[in-house]
Amino acid sequence: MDPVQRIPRYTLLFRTMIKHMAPYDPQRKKLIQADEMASKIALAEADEQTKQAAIWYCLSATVDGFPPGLISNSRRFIDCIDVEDVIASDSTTSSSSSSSTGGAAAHAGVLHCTLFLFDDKLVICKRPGNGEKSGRALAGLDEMEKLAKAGGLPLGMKKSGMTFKGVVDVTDVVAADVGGPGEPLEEPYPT
Amino acid sequence: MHFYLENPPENQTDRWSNRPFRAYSIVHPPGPVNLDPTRSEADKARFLEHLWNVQALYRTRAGQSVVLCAEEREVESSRGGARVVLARTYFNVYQRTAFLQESKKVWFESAFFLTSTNLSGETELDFVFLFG
Repeated sequence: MDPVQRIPRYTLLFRTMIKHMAPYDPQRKKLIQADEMASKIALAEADEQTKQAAIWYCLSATVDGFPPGLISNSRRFIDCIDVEDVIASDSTTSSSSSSSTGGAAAHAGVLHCTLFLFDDKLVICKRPGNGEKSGRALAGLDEMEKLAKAGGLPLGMKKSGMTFKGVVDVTDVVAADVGGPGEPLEEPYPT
Repeated sequence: MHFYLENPPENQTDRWSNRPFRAYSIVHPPGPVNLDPTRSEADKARFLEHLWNVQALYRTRAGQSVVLCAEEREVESSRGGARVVLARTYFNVYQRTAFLQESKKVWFESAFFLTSTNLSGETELDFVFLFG
């Protein structure tokens, strides 16, 4: 028998036994557990450690300048989000800024970036061009998830145009939800 | 969403360096900002919840403390009630020995020390509540 069929045949056997077993049979619970474990093995899905390793591979392969020192077995990827970083015209930057108009502060520019959140770090990456593509797609994370579910792993990934633009400790970040569209640019925090 | 970075990146190019305050708008490429406000709000809420959870759990990683979370409460109201600021407080609760071993104690704005008096009449530090 093809080895790959062996485990699914066991799950079929377990389920048939469970179906014909009395509800209060003392063996029933253990048989259900065995079926759950065998089903999971039959899926051949990559384990959590392998998935995390694949995420590191994707990021280091696709993000230009991604620091190798960030890659760690003990660091876990949590989430990512695409944003536009709106720079107020009176921010302290080295670039030239547009003059302020009356009313709300004018902005000196928009930076297209993706924030990657880990369990202890926040990584900022610039998205190429006018930000037409999402960071998740550029890093290959969507594709990686699909492959991991099928038991495969990403291979042959290349630089995507995303560029590493800094990392901060999560304990050095103060984040606030200031509500809906047209979020004000005024800086509420001490400098 | 607004981010304040206590130690912003310094070794990056141009506008990516030295800006502690960052105003981020959620976007779903290739669409513009606010093309789908409902989805943007949901994604923002999800990401911020993840970030706050990570921050709250950070100090529990070594098993030296446990984290508690109080319900959100209103801390400020302005513009005739049109703008309301809600705050959610996380507490890291340590036993004394574990707190003294904590390397970074200055992060918190305030701390509440719970003490007790032992049989000898000496005051002992039992727990430290840190407000971040």
